[in-house]
Amino acid sequence: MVTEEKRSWGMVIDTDKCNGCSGCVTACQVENNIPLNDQNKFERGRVMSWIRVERYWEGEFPDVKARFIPILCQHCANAPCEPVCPVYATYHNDEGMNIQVYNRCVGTRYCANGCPYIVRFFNYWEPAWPEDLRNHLNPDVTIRSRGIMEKCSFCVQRIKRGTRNAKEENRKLQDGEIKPACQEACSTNAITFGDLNDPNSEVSKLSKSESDRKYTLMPQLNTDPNVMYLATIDPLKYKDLGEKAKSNEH
Amino acid sequence: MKLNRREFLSLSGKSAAGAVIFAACSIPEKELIVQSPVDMPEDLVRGIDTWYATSWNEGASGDGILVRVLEGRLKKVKGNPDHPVNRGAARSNLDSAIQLHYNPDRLHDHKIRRSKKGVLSNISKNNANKILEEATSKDKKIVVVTNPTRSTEGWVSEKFAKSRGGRYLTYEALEESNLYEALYDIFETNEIPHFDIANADNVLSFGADWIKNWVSPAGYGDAFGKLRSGNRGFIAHVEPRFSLTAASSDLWISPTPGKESEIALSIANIIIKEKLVPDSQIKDFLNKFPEGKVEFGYDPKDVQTRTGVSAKKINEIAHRISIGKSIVIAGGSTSAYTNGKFNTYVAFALNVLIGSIGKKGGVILNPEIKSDYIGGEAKPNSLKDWQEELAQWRAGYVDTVIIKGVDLAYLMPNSLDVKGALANVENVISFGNIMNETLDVSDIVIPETTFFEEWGSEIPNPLPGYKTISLQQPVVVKEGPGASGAVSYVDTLIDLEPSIGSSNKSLVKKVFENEYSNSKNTGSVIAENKSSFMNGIQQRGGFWNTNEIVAPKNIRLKNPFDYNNENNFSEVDSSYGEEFHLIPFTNTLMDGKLSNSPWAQQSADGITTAAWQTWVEINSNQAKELNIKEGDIIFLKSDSGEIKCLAYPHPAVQPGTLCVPTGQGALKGGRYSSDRGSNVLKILSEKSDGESGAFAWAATKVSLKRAGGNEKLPKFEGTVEAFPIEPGVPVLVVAPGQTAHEAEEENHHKYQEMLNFRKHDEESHDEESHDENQKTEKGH
Repeated sequence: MVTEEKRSWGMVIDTDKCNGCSGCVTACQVENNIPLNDQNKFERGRVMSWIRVERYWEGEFPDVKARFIPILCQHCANAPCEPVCPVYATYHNDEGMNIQVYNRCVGTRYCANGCPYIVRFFNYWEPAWPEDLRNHLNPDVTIRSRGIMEKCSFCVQRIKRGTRNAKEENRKLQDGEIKPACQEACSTNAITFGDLNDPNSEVSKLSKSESDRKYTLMPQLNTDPNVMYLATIDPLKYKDLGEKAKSNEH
Repeated sequence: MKLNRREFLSLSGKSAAGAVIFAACSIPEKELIVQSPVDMPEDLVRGIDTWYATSWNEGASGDGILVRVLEGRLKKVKGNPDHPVNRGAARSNLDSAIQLHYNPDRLHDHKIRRSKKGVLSNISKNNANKILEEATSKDKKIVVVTNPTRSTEGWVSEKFAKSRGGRYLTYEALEESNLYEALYDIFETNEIPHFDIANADNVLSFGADWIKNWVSPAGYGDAFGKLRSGNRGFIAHVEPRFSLTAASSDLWISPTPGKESEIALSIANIIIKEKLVPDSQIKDFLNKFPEGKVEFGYDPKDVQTRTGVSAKKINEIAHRISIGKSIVIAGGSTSAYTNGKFNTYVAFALNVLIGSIGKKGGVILNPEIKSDYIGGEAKPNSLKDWQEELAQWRAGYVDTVIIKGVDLAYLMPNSLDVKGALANVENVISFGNIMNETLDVSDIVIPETTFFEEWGSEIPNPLPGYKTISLQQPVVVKEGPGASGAVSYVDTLIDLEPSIGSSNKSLVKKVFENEYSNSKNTGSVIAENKSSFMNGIQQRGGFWNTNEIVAPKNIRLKNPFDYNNENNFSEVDSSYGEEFHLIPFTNTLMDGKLSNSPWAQQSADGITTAAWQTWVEINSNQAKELNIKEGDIIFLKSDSGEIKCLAYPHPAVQPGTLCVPTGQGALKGGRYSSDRGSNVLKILSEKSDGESGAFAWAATKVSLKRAGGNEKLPKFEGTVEAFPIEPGVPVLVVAPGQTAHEAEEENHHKYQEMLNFRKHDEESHDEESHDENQKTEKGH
């Protein structure tokens, strides 16, 4: 019998490989039964997207760059969203994940106010799909009702399915065996997911390579995220090719 | 022991029952663990899912995909890691296809129009078939139209048209017949080569938005990730529009539209003058070029004046692609001008100069695959072909047109007047899943199965350097939930002409049975008999054989200056408004194929983050000059019509150009597509390449007029509040070898300096104001 290991799930996103295709965004929508974002939601700024690709401009034509970064729940070890929930609907589990328990949530939205990464979404409306489209809903994931908060779960249903399969087959879970929908859909392999406690896992190796490109978002807040980023490489950063690019603009 | 008959039957019955009971008890341990409520996590409803390997011809160039099916319903699509074309990578739009299958507006009934001016009404399948038989009888002059495909479907379309003495044509809105023309002239092949981006050190692309939508973006995405791993490669992209490929490149060059060849020749000029590559390669390149033309006619400084591109950038690219493993790719808008073939040829010819052909990390030529039951071509018919064809329709020389998989009435420019041409065809028969503009003007409408329900085989485009045939297999049953009434296009044609074969499924099986016979136990599936071989094909999603490659060949360049290389654009009505180059482009909706999928509609555009609408991208500074703000209602008028769009100014648009996405503006469609945005394809001018007759869809000029109103542009940008943060946050950029920490420190210091300067400026401004006030006071 294989003993259960203490895991800490984490993710490393290499922004140098992110080309802004948004494949991760759609895959997440499909996997997690996220309500359809119709035109009205876009116009009202109420788009629900557990993962989003932010685009930042740098410079002016012709020396202009667009930089992309996928942002999702950072699954912080010191998550500001957790202590503010009056009903313990959001808590930190023993696998390093920030969990949202839907049937505990009473919709105070304190967690959303507390989150500096703005990755929590409130269901202002009852989610609705036309009858035929309900056929494609993923039975592994609960449909959230109006009035509660939701966010990236690191595809907990896939983690459970994967760990359970390994347990049933009396074997160790392999690194890379569990892939969240965003990682699976990323054609460039910009997203790596795995157990940060396993020193041999790919995600662990990437996250510990302190000498190079690793950074976290808003480190000054000391949230200690389980999602880390690798910086974009610009081979022409210090090269003057005529027109000089301006500094970052957002 | 002696048993009589009654006792024997009684005992047999008991032991059989016992066996059943025993079997029922023997599933146990696994099931009990699975069902244990103690072990049930949050959000988990356990089900047994099945993943099927298949492919999608129309929307994914034959990429291998895996479809998750649970309780007979489609749940998810992902890339097939086993398939050699995309190696597990997926396109961002793959999942959206599920919503075409389960679309609430899906057609379930056959429809008929009794007279050209009548309306479509439902008809039984049997009655529709009788009318169909009459409309396609052997005495009728028939034309079959599909999207470009190399598949069993293409083979049947060809055969059927031939059986009636008719023609088979294909149409693609933003067609690239020039790409195939140029490739044929250089490499003498009808196949797009395998561009070994994954192993290249440098990639230079012209016009082809290979990251987002060009040819095989899933496979190229995978290669992009590999190129950016380890010994990181360099990407330069030449395109007037800021596409996702431009955004993801290390160096973007935006020449004046139609001047891409000048950049390519200027790069050649530097390489030749500075002898950056061996003499033999220079000799091969200059083989038939007019003497001195490249060496003296394309000096980077002169080209800078003619194209607006800095000579330093051209120089940078020339030096980069001359070392290591480099590759040059061309297509997309580069091939879509009146000199498109010339542009494309010249760009591809650079591969001869840098010696990248047939090498790892270079251009790997693909074999031309022949299969008895696969037909059609990847190269679409040109605009010239279509002009001639529509003239036949208009003149009433065609009795019946069968259209499948291509919404001609939506995709063709106004000036071609395809609806007028169809009105003169006695029988217009269209297959489709959801109502569209072509179905709306058809005489017989046939609800069609989706690729999830259908058999098929196809040659992917491009191949991975060796023989590959993808399999499409039904992953859900016909007449399943949400899909009643739909029929197979191929089986319908076979019913009308039984000499073609017995069924679609049998033809697809024959394709792979032939491979079994010919492969001699080499390739991706090795089996003892045909049946096991087919099982293996269904498990892997196709057949490929790494041994079937193209033999090396000597490339002998022609003189491209013999081509018609005149670059001209359509005329505009200058009294209407400002004159601009119009650059149409495809995004997640493709050419409208996915506009009925809400997932595709809501997929925010990578550059603008806009969705659900038609926007026009305009340079921010130019917009300021013209007093155009985001959401302003803009009318664009060409010699082929006028459309309305919402303005989206951003800094990465070349001044003088406007970029508009395709996919919206359907006059007829489902609830998610109809009466939404505008159809930019309608206003494209009927310009063609003087050499090849290809559609010059990037050669349209428009005049711009502000309508005076403003609407909210649906976009994701702004949904999340942007904090005023210092540079490098959140997207940190490092130079090669620089660490994240060093870059953060550098950014922080820059930011502090900036703040100090600002503080200093403010202080000095305050002092000046103080002096001014004093002066004023004194003056008083």
